[in-house]
Amino acid sequence: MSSSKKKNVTPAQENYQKLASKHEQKRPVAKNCIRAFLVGGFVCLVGQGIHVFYYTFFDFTQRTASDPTVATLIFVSVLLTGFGVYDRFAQFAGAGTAVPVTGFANSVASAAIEHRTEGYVLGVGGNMFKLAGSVIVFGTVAAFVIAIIKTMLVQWGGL
Amino acid sequence: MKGLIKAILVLCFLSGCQMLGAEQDIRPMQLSQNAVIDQEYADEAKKIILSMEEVVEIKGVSQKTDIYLAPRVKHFDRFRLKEIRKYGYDSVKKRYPDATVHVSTDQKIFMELEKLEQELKNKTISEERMEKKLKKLDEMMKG
Repeated sequence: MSSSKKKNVTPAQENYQKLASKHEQKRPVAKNCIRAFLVGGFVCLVGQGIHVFYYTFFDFTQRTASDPTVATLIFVSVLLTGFGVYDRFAQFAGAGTAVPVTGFANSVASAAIEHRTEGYVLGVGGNMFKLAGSVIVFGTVAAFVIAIIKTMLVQWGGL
Repeated sequence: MKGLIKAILVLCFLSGCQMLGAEQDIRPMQLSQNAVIDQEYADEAKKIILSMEEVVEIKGVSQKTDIYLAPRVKHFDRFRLKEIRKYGYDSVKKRYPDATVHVSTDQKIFMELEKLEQELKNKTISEERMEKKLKKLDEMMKG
């Protein structure tokens, strides 16, 4: 219940709100956190496994193996999204599946699937980045700002 | 459920502390004149780097004046990898000022050098193939 909604209410409404909040189910924050921690860690463990696999059996070094690792994870999560498995997984884990790169891939793929009926251009093309667009925009802007700060520090600050 | 979560948390903390202790002292492989190509430079360089506190294991190969080294760094000191590489490079360079020293903490380089060491020891590698392999490793280290 946001505090802005508490203004301009009759006493009866206020009473009702109190009653409702008493019966409202509490969000299990601690449980959610632990779930997110464990599942997020599991996703990272899988990623690390793929990473080790790539530099052990292919011609990658530890540094260059990260690119195919990310590509593989994205591919797998897009596939799982298409099959409808990822939704259930994310329902259980919450932020654990949303924060790693798999969550980003899921948000793009699910938006694309959802709007496919509206056509390829205006549907898929127009709605694909509905969720992920903000991540891209703010990521690019933040990178740009930080690059400017770093350039200034290096050029004139002599860092 | 609550008890289970608590138990898991306690286990996590406990197992985290198990990392300490159990330190092995691994001698670097000394090949010297037994190898196909003389490994005197590498042997000495391996000793120098292994004497660093942060390094637990080292593989290395030398070819003429090129020395390729791959130390394995202690887990907690991996935060300072760059510094450790630089320190290792400098100390080897001080011993052999005219040599070209390559130090890499990449796991891949470590594995490749380990294979090379074995092959040198068993004398199952020719000089040309070794040169080719080292050239490839050099590119990997840069790239």
